[in-house]
Amino acid sequence: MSADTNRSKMDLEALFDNLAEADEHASPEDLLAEARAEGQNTEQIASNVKKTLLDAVRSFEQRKLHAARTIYRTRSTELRCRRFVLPATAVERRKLLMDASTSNQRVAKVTARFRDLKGISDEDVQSALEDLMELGAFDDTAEQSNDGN
Amino acid sequence: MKEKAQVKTATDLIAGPEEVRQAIGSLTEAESVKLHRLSEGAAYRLRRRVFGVDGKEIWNEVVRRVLGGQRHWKPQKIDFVGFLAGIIKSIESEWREQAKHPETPVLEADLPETNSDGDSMPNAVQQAADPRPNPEQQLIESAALTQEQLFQQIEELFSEDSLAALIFSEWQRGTKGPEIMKALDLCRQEYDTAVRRMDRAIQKRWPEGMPYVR
Repeated sequence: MSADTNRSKMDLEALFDNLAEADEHASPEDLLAEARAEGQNTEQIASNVKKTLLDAVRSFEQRKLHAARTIYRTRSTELRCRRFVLPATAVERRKLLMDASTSNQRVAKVTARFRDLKGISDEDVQSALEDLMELGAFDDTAEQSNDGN
Repeated sequence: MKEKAQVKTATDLIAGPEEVRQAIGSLTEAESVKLHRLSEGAAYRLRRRVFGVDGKEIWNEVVRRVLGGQRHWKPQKIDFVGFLAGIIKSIESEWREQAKHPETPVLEADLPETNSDGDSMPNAVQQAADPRPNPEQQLIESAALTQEQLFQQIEELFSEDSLAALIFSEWQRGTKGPEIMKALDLCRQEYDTAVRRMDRAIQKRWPEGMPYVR
């Protein structure tokens, strides 16, 4: 027999494929019986597999939650940045709040806590406007304003 | 032409995280042992090319593909174990290919143009074009077995298992499983049992993974 005919027609990858197939085709019960015959602690193996899988699910969901939190923080920062869109003077800010409370229902609900809107301090006007902005009450207005720019 | 109405049937439903979690909780002992064997087998075979990979790493990737939407489980079409087995097989195949052709993400801009003595350095293209093995590769290759030597060592493992020796010999001749079963009058279960015996013998002989061959 020549050296060439002695050469294997199978490479290592093919050997691995052949070996892997035997596990893929096997019934779970056959594999369980073989593992028990070898003296393996199959209950422990099963418990570990479930734990590893559930840990992987938990870890994936935590990463997803972390990503969602990051998006939320980015969005919050964006909202805070919109404070700078507030009118520059106290008179203009008060006018914005008064106008909005009559034309915007969401604003009206928030300002309803003030008995007399005209009597509140400039600081309260500023604070109310900032709260309303963070709640998105002026989102449409801001977008319109941005579009207009 | 009248279009057919698109009705979403029960078989199209894709399982979400809660169904996946329930399916994991419902795995029987036998199913869990099968999954363990599949993941550990894949990790063992991959360790020849991917350093330190283990079953846990494979499971993390499986879950990432399922919950990340890369693979959809349709419970009415495929059982959970079969679904996971298919993903493990894909991962093994993909990681094996990736390890064969590793990417070298080196930016030209990140490389210094000169060394500490001020001499010009070869650029990324010049380095990539050098076909000579580096000293580390030379050392590994000089110590490595040839594939023939490795197969000879595997054959020796089956010196007292005539069926395993015969199957291995047929594989080397290029004979496929179904032909071997037919020629030796073996049913699928008998053949697979013998192959798993071979697998266990190999893993016992090289517990850290198959040796590198040149």
